[in-house]
Amino acid sequence: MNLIVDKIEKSFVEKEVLKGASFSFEKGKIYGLLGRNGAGKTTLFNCISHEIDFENGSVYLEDNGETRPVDFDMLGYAFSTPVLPEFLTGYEFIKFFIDIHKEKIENPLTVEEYAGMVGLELPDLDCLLKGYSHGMKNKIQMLCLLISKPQIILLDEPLTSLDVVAAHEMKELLLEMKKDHIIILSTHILQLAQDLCDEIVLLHQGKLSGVDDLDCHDKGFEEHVMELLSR
Amino acid sequence: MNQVISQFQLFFAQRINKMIYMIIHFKPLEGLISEEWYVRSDIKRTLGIICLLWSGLKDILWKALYFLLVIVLPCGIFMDNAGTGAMAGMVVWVFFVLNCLMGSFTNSHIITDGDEQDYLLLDLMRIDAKNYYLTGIVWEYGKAAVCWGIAFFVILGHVYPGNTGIFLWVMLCYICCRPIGEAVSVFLCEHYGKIPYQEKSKEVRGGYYCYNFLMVVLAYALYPVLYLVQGMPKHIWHPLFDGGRFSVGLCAIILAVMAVGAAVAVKYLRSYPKYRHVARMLCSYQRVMEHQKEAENVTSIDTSLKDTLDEEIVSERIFPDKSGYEYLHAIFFERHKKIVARPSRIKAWIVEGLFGAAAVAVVVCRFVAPQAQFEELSNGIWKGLNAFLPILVFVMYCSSSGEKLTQAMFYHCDASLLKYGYYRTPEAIISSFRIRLRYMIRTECPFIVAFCVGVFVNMMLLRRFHNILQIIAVMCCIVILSVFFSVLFLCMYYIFQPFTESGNIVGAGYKICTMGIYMAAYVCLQIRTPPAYFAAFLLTITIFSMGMALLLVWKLAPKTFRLK
Repeated sequence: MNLIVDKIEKSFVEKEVLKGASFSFEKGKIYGLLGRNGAGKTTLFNCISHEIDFENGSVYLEDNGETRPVDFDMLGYAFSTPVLPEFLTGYEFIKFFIDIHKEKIENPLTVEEYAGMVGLELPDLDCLLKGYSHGMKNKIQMLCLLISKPQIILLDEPLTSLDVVAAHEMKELLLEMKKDHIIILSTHILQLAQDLCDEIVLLHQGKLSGVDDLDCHDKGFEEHVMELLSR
Repeated sequence: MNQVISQFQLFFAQRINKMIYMIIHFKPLEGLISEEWYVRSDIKRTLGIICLLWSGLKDILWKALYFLLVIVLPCGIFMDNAGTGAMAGMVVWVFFVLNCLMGSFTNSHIITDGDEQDYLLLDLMRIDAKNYYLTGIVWEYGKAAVCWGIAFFVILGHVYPGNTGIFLWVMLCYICCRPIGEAVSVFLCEHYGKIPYQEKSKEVRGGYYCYNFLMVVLAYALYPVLYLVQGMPKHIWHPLFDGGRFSVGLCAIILAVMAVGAAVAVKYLRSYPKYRHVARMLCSYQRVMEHQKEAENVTSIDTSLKDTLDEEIVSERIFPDKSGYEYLHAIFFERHKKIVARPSRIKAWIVEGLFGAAAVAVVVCRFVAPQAQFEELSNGIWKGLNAFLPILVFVMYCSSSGEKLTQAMFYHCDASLLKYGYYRTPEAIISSFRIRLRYMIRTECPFIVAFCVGVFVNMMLLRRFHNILQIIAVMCCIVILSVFFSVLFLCMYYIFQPFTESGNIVGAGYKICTMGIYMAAYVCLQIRTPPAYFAAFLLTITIFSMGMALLLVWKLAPKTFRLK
């Protein structure tokens, strides 16, 4: 199964952010979407998830030659700053989330079991989300993706501002999840992309391009990417 | 001098760029104006002049409005029959008390929350803080003095001719008072290490309000009283207050004291060594950001709604038998009792108290008063109740917590959940709407019951058995109106969803409807018609409106209930 982004064009007032961006993302891989500040990474995510309209192009799934549009059930979006309803406790939010997705979950686990999957401790479950740290909120956000198992996961700078331990846990979690999903991770931290991703995709001057001629773990990869982004 | 010029250049460049940004993003002009404007110095210069003129004009307009509403109008009311000399005297007096004695010591230009511009100049660009603050006060008070000068010498000089002397006196007092006020602020800030008048402890706040209250009384009450007693023999103010104004001698003493005070204050301000420290305290990055965030958030959502979460009751897992949206909203209403159930209970208690007292009075009258007198009382109250019907609409509108509740729903729940696709599906939206509607109606129940029972019991005690149908009509009005205002705000919220993520209201639809409801409720106060007709009219209108609103929610909310 592939996610096809086909010639997307998106402008804001006079600024053309995406100029016919095209790429094919494959299931079972983590893609690192790299771009300079303001390159349009979040805009691309918003276009893929249909949060915003775009002028031209299309986004669809291709599976064994058949194509189908992407609807929001297939898509999970993790924000760089998680936004959660603060009047609920962790337990209540997870229970609510399981309840409203129960028809799509094949073998539902208990709230406590799910919490254990992302390393949330039991006493924390009964505290208001209001008091959760950024890392804990991020875990809850990732847990929602683990529960609903959307085919496409978009992560908008998910590890930014996490402490080293939380970032490590999150990386492990993503690596575990990747085999059943198409994961696209936007970041401007090259080191992170190299650590975690199978492929690097550059968003530069409104277009998407893979870095095929060099493995992302190779020596000299960083210089190569710098050169491509400086053109 | 160079620094002052740079300061103003930066200030205007910032304003002009903001203006260009607004013009470029103004929908009707979209695409017509290019971003090249940012580099066109001729356009920027022209816009700079427009900005400067607009800023000056805005200042003059605000000051004119203040002058008219706060100073001239009350003087006109208090000194209705006095001559022009006394009127001019009172205008000067009110201005003197409010702007010199009160304004100078309760506001400060230096010691106040820093804004983005202060941060940029003082913290980021590291310009000289002393120069920055002193130039700022000269500029601000200079501008104000020019505006007030125009108000007094040009406008009032024309309306009340022959009073140039006292106008000049009050302007000089104003010019002297402001540096004194600034010096006192800086001194207090230095002494207590915090912003006086803003970060107030309970005692300071008490003193602050007392001072303001005293000044207001002094401004508006003292002069008319002196004016009235001036003709009485041996009144104590005789040498100082005569002919409708303070004597020249007293004015000269006040001015001399103020001039000395101003000289000392200017010396203190010029020699004060810690402006850099003050700048660090008032416009650090964190403080300015917090302040900015607060200002953004405060705009539309009632600030009292931001802290309504009942965190104390999060001790055990609640509503284990509920699931999905039912579970979510049950917890929301449980944890926000402060603004959900409590106001309704308080309203119910007030109504119970009033009707209870009325019932006791009726029972006492029934046993004490003669039959004819009791009948008269009964007829009078019945007439009063009928006359109350149009007022009921406005009362119910004012007592409705529908608008506040919807704001709280947005701020505490929807602002976060609307970011997720699952919460924006038509099924989820309609399901949430239905549940919330039920909770909001249930919330109003104690009030409705208390009101209806109160009316019914009192009318029965007054022996209005033969009016039973009209009484039922009144009770129906109470029920329908109470439900109507709750439902209507919820419907409007779902149809328009007017709030942005930061809580600002955008789009005209919601504002127009809110205004329309207020106007309709207000217009009802003017209706004079027999109660039966009014009840029938009210029932028809409210039921029809509710039906329409519910239908619109079903049709539109799945498309419109989005984060703006």
